[in-house]
Amino acid sequence: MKRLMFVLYSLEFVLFYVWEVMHSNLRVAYDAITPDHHARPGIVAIPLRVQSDLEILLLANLISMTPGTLSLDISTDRSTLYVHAMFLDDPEEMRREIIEKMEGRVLRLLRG
Amino acid sequence: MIEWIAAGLALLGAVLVLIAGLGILRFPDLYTRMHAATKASSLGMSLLLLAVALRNPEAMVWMKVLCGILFLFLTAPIAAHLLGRAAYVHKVPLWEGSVADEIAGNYSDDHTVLRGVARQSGTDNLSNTQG
Repeated sequence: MKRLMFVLYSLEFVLFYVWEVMHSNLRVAYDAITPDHHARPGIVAIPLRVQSDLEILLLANLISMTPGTLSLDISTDRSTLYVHAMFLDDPEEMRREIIEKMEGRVLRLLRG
Repeated sequence: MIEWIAAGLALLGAVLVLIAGLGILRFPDLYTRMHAATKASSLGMSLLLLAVALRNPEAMVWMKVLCGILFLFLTAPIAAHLLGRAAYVHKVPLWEGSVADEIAGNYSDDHTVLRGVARQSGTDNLSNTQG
């Protein structure tokens, strides 16, 4: 049962990853080919729950490859990930989205 | 049929890489350019590789293509992270339209230590449940 859930979560994770990559591409591409800049870039601090190397790697990787967000650096004590976002309308909203959508998925996948 | 799908993927991939190039040219600062450089180009390259594999459906070709895509997706974010970090440490300015910089002031003077922000209550309730 546990193994089955892992397979399901992995599958869901891969689909989510592919979807987010497509979505992010469209958004960044749209901004690249239209004349005005819609970007409202900025750097936000994401407090982390993930702790092991693998968890941080997966999360940072996911963040970098998805909607207008790019992992910049992680704090020395590993408590905070600094993320550059391209469409930062509301830092709080962005923080919440990353914590819920991405970190939540990574945790569910690796910790079950 | 496969021919057409392969052609479509190749075309789409090429267009994405072109857009990535345009983005690098047009975005206002280094950090936003990194977005174009990592995302659009890795997806574009993956589509091109997939087109090659569809056109030459042999096990070895598929294997190489899948490895190529895997490593592209593993390495592109790391390169982006290192470039972004190096730029920030060397004080490459953010675009004046930027709305937030929560990293400011958190590096030590020699940039070897980066302070974190305090964890907010409610965000770390899972980390303590794992023995």
